[in-house]
Amino acid sequence: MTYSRLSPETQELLSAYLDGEIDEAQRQELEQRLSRDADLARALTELQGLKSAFAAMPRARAPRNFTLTPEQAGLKRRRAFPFWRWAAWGAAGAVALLMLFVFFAAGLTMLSAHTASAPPMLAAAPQAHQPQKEAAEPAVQPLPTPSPNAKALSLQAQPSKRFLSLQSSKPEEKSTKGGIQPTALPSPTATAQPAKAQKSPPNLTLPLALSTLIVLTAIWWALKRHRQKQR
Amino acid sequence: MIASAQKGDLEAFNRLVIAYQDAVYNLAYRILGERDAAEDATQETFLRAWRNLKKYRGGSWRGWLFRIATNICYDHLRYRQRRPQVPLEPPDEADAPDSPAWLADRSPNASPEAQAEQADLRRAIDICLRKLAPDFRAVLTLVDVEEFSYAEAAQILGIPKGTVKSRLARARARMQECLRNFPELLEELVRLNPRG
Repeated sequence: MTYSRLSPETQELLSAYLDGEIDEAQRQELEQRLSRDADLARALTELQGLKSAFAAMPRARAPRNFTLTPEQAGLKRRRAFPFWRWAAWGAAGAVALLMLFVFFAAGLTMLSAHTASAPPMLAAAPQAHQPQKEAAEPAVQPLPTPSPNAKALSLQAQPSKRFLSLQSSKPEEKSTKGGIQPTALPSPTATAQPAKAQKSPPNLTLPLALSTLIVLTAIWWALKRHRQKQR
Repeated sequence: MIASAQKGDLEAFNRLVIAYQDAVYNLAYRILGERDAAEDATQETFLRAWRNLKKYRGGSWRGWLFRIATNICYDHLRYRQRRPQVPLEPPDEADAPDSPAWLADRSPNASPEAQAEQADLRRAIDICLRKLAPDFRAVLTLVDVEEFSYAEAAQILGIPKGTVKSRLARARARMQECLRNFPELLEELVRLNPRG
């Protein structure tokens, strides 16, 4: 009788005996049976041959190497310029651009306000000062050329008590000297409007230049760092 | 090496891959019976092993790796069962057991007659093995080729030890039944028996 024709229980017993996977009692019992039963012994011999042949089967060499690349292993190479740095520089750039925009917008607003308010004021100025124009003429005219009274005029912004007392106490003296007549002195309200009208437009050069400089410096520094990391 | 690999050292892991890739490939080939499928399964085994390396808690590294490989092979077989494919080309010559790819253990000193006999035997065993159910192929390969104990095979296959015992006995019986078609080889098997 061959192995394959044995009962499943005997097959299991012989198979496990061959592999040394039965307990001592089972082993002794089976060995007694084997010594008595020639067919069983032949079945065991066949099984041993099969096992030996199977174990002797040649092994194939792997057709290639199965080593993993960093990409396969999910180990992406570290970026020369990681995402968080891009994000930081993006934010910095955005802030710089925003500043630029704010300065520019503010400048435009101020400029438009200036140009919008200037014509009516300039137009109103002659009307408002028409009666005083002739009287004020001598007071305004001496300004371009330096005169002995220039010092007094410069002090007009900060009139000293002495000057004011001179003004009030000696009106005739001033008129005789051909300097400033009392009527020629502009009132505080009258002088304020021409001064406002003549105010120069806001100087945007500095903030604009500063913003541009910040942006350019940031870009330059980022590029420099990026090149250094690439090396 | 395993500890280094567990810390994320890919080079250490790749050294393990080189050490075990032949064994894993052979197991996959025995279970799947196809070279390309075995190649895919081997690659997938090492990928899955790398991803699950932190789950390895010591013990037999080979057993752990084979368990992954066996599971992948079973997945592959289940997929193949759901979507049966007809091969466009006949089986590759390299799949034959006496092809140059299978020369690792061939004895160079054997006589031409002995070599021919051994080649016939290998071919017959290979044919019979392919006819077995995958469960039987797996247990035969693990115990008879890879020489795992029943307990280890049970752990790798995720089945009780008793199931390994019965499955192996039936697998051997079917192999022997199949080899009856090659009567001269049966005699050869008896001759190979060390006790005979």
